[in-house]
Amino acid sequence: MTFSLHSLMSRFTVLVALLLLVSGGFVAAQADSITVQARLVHGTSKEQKGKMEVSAAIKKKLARVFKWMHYYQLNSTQLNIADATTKTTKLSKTASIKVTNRKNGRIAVSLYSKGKMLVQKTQTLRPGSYMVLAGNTGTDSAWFIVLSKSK
Amino acid sequence: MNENEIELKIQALVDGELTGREAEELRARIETDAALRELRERLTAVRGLMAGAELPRTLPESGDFHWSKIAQGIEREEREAKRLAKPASGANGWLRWGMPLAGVACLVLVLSLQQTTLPDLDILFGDGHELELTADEIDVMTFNTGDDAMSIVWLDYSIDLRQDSLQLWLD
Amino acid sequence: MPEKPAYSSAEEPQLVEWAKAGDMQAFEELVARYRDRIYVRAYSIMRNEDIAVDLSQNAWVKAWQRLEQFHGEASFATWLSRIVTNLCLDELRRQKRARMDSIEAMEETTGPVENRMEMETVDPIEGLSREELRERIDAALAKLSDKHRTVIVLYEFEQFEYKEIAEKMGTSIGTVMSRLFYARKRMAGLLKETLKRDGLIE
Repeated sequence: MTFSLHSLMSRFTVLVALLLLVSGGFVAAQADSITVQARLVHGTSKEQKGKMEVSAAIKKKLARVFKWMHYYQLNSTQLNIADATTKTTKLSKTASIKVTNRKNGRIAVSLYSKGKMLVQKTQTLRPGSYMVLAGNTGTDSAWFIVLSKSK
Repeated sequence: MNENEIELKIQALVDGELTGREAEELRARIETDAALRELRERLTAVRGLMAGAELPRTLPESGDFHWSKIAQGIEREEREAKRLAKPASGANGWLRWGMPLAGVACLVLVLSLQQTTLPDLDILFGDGHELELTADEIDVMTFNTGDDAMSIVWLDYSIDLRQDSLQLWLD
Repeated sequence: MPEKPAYSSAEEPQLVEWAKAGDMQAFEELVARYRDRIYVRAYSIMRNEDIAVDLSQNAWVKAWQRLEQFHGEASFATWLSRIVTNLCLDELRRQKRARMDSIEAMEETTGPVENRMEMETVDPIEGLSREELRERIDAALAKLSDKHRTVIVLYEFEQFEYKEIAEKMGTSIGTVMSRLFYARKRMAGLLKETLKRDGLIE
């Protein structure tokens, strides 16, 4: 069996083209999807043994603004969201968030409490930065929903 | 004057609230009464202790965050003041212009409802951040840390932090 | 091009003038200088951090709206202190403290139970720093009812006269005098208790 140089080259070209097509599609899919980490955090000055504190990086940022001595992570979830898609996650008994991937790193986060939407925030979320929705709990502590983009 | 009234008068004297003849008479009476003298001294001592005794404290949140809330409060009040300001117009002017204007307003409203712009519910825009608040009863403040590492939306709303036993679910 | 004003080194009257002209940065500098002081006043009355922070914020917003009314008769801080005090009094009126209300109602109709107790002697204590004394006074203040703590704060810290306190609290001068007398007796008693407990006096 013999192969001409021409046929080898054309097969090679086809294979390379296919490879580029597949990998390009793969890369495109990766660029369009986004991974968001959402954490429910409880800010309080009362020590709560057995509860896990939020990461040092997040604590440092929150502590720069707020007064609490402890920031306990009550819940954490990772959402992998394709372009123009929405994912929902329940963070507490009554609170849930819907996160929509709006392309180019922009996300829209809607906070629901007991099924009712309270607020929606849309922004570009860069790696290393945080979006925080927060409020008082009414018992001298605060709740925080801390969102960040996973690398 | 009963005992309680005398005590209150002595307090007033110590506080500089009793003047003139009344003060003179009371001073004279105190000089002849050891118990009243002692009460005057004790009241004077308590006053002395309290002077400048307010415990200094630091605001329990960052100055930037505090200022951000104040600035947004000012903005909100100014918007509210503008909204409440009534335009000056006579009755004839209203009749001549009011109806056509109302018609135009309705048209604008209908057209605006067709669009996808956000309703005017305390929406704040800046640097690509959009915020929509759907619950009128909630106050909201936004704040960005100077290095843009954290954007905060602070709601005047409590949520239940308890988790139920259900596992987290995703759509 | 005129130079940008150096807000941090500007004198207070200049900052106030700039703020009156609509300069928010000048007002921000005033906030930076006095935010702790205004918060302290709100906390002294309300004894709740979150409420004190909220009322402080509201006071600053009101101050901005009323800047035209400030003519320098008192210092800017004093003027602002009055605003936050009024907001605190408004807030107290709104709050219901059923437990304390029932005790005070009894006191005001039948005469304070504590009238039977003498005004304690509280002498200056050597070895007790001013800071420590302030902390003890603060702890004692926290134990007073809203009305009694308010009258002490308004008189001793805000330095209002009886008549002004009566107007602000919506009561008579006689009631102000009674409340102040009772509050001082209670403070003296509480202070003496803590000093004895800590072995600083016999």
